Amino acid sequence: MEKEQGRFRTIRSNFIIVILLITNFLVLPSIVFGMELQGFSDVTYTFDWHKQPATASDPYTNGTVELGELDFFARANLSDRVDFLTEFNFSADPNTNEGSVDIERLQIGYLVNDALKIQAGRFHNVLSYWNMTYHHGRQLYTTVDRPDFVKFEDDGGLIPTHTVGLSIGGHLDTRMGGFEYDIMGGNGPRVQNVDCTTTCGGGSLSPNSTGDDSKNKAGTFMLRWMPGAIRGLGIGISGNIQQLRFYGADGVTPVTIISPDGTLTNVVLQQIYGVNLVYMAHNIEFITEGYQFRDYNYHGQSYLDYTWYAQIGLKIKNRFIPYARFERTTVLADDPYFVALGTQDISKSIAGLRFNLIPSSSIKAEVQSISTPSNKYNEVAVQWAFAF
Amino acid sequence: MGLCILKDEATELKTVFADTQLKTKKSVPSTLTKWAGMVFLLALSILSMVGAGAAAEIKEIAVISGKSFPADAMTLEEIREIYRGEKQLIGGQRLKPIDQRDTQAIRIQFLNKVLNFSGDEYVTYWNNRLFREGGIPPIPKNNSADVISAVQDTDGAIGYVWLSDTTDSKANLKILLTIPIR
Repeated sequence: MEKEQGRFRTIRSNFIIVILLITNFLVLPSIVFGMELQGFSDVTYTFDWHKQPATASDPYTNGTVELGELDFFARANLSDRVDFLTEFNFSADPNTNEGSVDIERLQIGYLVNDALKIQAGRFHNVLSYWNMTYHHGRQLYTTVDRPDFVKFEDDGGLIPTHTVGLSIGGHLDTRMGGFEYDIMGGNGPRVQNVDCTTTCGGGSLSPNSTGDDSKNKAGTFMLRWMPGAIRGLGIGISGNIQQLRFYGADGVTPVTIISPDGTLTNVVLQQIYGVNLVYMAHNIEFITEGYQFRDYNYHGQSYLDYTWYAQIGLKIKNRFIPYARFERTTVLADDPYFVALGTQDISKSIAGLRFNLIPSSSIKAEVQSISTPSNKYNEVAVQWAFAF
Repeated sequence: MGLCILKDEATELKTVFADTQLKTKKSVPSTLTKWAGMVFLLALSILSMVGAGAAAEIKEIAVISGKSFPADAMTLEEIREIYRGEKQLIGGQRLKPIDQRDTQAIRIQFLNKVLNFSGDEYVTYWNNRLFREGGIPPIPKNNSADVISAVQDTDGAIGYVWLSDTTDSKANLKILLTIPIR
């Protein structure tokens, strides 16, 4: 009974926070500062079959209508050179039916010139093109969901998707075309919720938004080239370096990772390097990204792992986009980072159709075939996404 | 003598006349040439008129600003960068691009011919850009008169109108670039 009352109080206080936030962003700033508020959301039905082991409580096996994240972002120019952007997100976990509110981004920036902008706060990490470009905006991307490895830190993602710290970036126009760059430095993430009761796994990345657990900071860079001669083409490289420590469910108790070969690891130095190629013109959408992980365990052992995807879509009369995506992640069984996350090799083949109802709303339907060493199953998903 | 002269002159005239007749007779086939020439000239005139009509269809978009704008001229590439949000400052001043409503014919021409976007593509482009980087998108105005008024009243504002729409307000405007549109 007390637990129920506690949950009710939590829901009530969350509700009040939501009302206050919306009131603040919708009413006060729009009058006083001229802040613009926009957002995204979606409703998605997902059903999978042939999943092993089939559990009676698996929401996707039962077929689930899921409220997507309700994502608000607001922006304002405080002066000619100073601007501000924030994004907050309301989401619910379909497994626990628990909701949460996150400050996704909060960034204050100073525009020195077109080639240099300095920002501080919490950002979308620029390592991945997908993460940097689409992030929570499901209406912005063609498919129902993100590639697996770009999922958010608390949703099984493999790469950092947020950084808390400083960012320096800009845009340069040259005779060879446009260049975009970004360099970020900030709190290094940790891996938490690791459970080593039997075998290690279950961990998730945390960007350490409120406090760093070590003196080692994380650094990320990104450089993109958009050749002027080929409209719609972009080629990018990126990299990230960070040190990771492992913690249990309480987030403070250090955990030693035991790899299948018996190696014990407390800390991992991780380098991630990636390339991406994007072509968006002449009614063709093509995106591919590939990443190499190099995890060093300070005992003289390093592990190389790979993940990539390629996605293609064809716009028909700007309304219909049939699309396909293949993604694959290959990890070494003894890599302590992936042991802690419980990551297995995975391949996904996706085929679907997107229908643009209006420029700011779309309906998507897709079929996925998912293959891991222990499982091979199919999934169908239908989504109505929108921006406002 | 006078008569003689007259006679001589008459003879000469007769001779000249006879020569002319002779020449006229000789030039019977050239009548066709003459007519052909006339037809050619007529065709040329018609073609010129058509050409002039086509030339009249070439309209010019004027990219305009107020008199206090820090630059006196801009390149086509700079205009593209401004309307894509890539160029944000000029002379230390924030650029404020002004757009036109999608009901205005000039907007379709500007997006298609100058920025190489369709209307929907431009909306999608800015949705992506705003979400990723923030900033302020071009502010839409109802018509060219509103655009002219906005650039005159706002520091750093830049807009586009038909060149012919600027004639009444030229004294308070800078024309930074003219772009011929077929």
